[in-house]
Amino acid sequence: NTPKRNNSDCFNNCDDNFKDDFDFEKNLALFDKAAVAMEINSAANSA
Amino acid sequence: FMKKHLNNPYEINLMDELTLKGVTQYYAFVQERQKVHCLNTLFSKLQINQSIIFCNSTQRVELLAKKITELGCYSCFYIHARMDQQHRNRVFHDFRQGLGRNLVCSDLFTRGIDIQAVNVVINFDFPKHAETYLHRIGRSGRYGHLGIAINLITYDDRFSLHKIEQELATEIKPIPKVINKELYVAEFSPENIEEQQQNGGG
Repeated sequence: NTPKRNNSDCFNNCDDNFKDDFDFEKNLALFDKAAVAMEINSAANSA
Repeated sequence: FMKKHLNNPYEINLMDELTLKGVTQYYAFVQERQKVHCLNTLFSKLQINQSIIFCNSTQRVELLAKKITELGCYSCFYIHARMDQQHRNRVFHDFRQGLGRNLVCSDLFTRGIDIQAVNVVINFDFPKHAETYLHRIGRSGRYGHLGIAINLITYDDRFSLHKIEQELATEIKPIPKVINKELYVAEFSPENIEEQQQNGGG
């Protein structure tokens, strides 16, 4: 269940447009850590 | 067994030698293909004295070091487990002497980082085990220095992130828009400011 990290995505096809700063906030909004934690916990409890 | 045979045992958990105290931990949510861009932005925004950047494989250490060098304005050393010990020692020695600002490496520190000048640690790849995380981010107790740790988290890392937070009873917070320099830049730490004010005599 541990997917191999994709080297070509990371180092060859990476977003090379560095003129703008990386948008941390926009990306954080894509990940709801608390919801994911609850999901993991409930999956563990029901297992 | 413990109670029967040990008289007032003094318990030492060896993991306690490494501490996350004084280290502010953040995560940034990224895709693999955004990682280099994200790192580049961190380099430009953070006030880095020296930094260590961890990858999860020797191959990725080499690829990342090459990429950072291509970006131009950042000096960087790298070490990984497949280099011979003599070479590794030399690079590490040079880095400790402050000859390079950034060190990219795989997991080969067994006792945590004890280079005082390192104020920023970046997990370019998030580790899978709490012990690995602690060795990368944790500092030996004798150095009470401040620092920040920034974890690049992909969606695939969500289980590891949750597990490691639970096992280490710590919290890794979303990276804020502005990171307070008091958290990791020595000149800005509250203690030093107080000292300066006292020495300056108002």
